[in-house]
Amino acid sequence: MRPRCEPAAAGWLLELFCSSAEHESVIGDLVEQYQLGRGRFWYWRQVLAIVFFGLYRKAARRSPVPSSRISPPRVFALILVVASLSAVLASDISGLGGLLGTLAIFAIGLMVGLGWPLSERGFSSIGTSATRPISRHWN
Amino acid sequence: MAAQPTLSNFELMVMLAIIRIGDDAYGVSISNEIEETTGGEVLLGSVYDALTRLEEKGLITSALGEATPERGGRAKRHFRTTARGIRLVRDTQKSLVKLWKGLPQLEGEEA
Repeated sequence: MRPRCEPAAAGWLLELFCSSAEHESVIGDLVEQYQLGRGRFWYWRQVLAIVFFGLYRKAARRSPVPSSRISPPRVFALILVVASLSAVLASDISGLGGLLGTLAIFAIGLMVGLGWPLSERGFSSIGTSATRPISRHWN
Repeated sequence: MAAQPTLSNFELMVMLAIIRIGDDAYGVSISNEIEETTGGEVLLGSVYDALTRLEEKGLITSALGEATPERGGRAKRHFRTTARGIRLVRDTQKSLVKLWKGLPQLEGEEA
């Protein structure tokens, strides 16, 4: 049986945001699952989540601001901007509607990134439960 | 003395999944193990994120395996817990059991 081709644009996104050592095994895991019958939607969702968590971690590590103050909405907005730009660059969409849609996503991403209209509290549950320590001060 | 690292809820699940799986613990198998035991969907991204943090804390180590054709010629990254990691999981378990004891609100199926 011929192996299915995984979405190329998703692989390109991973290459862009993951280190080469990390990228190799991560893509391998995704390809393995894709060949076992997972769909394109599943593949894209996993890639966007990997990029989201990767960017969030990098932002928290590099920023002089304490990691608790880096809001997931800002990282989410950045992902939106990157995803809409990559859609244009990879020509995955065509026609005026597609272009307008991409521009709209781009604009929303920028607005959320600048802190409007969502408050930090509204999005505070995204990605934060995984980093909340449960074993602090136990000794 | 070095400060004791901390474990989040999800990091603890990942540590337990690695211990349960043994030698074949890698991204997909860890994610599947957590999905099967908890019944919820787990994003691979959150698993990789937790694995990176655990490795930085010195609680797990990783090594690249051999490339296989079903993975498009890409290698698996295998994970193992360190002695420090096992110790921290054991301490966490002890603390949780202590906290659990004598709580009438949490007894029975209805709790």
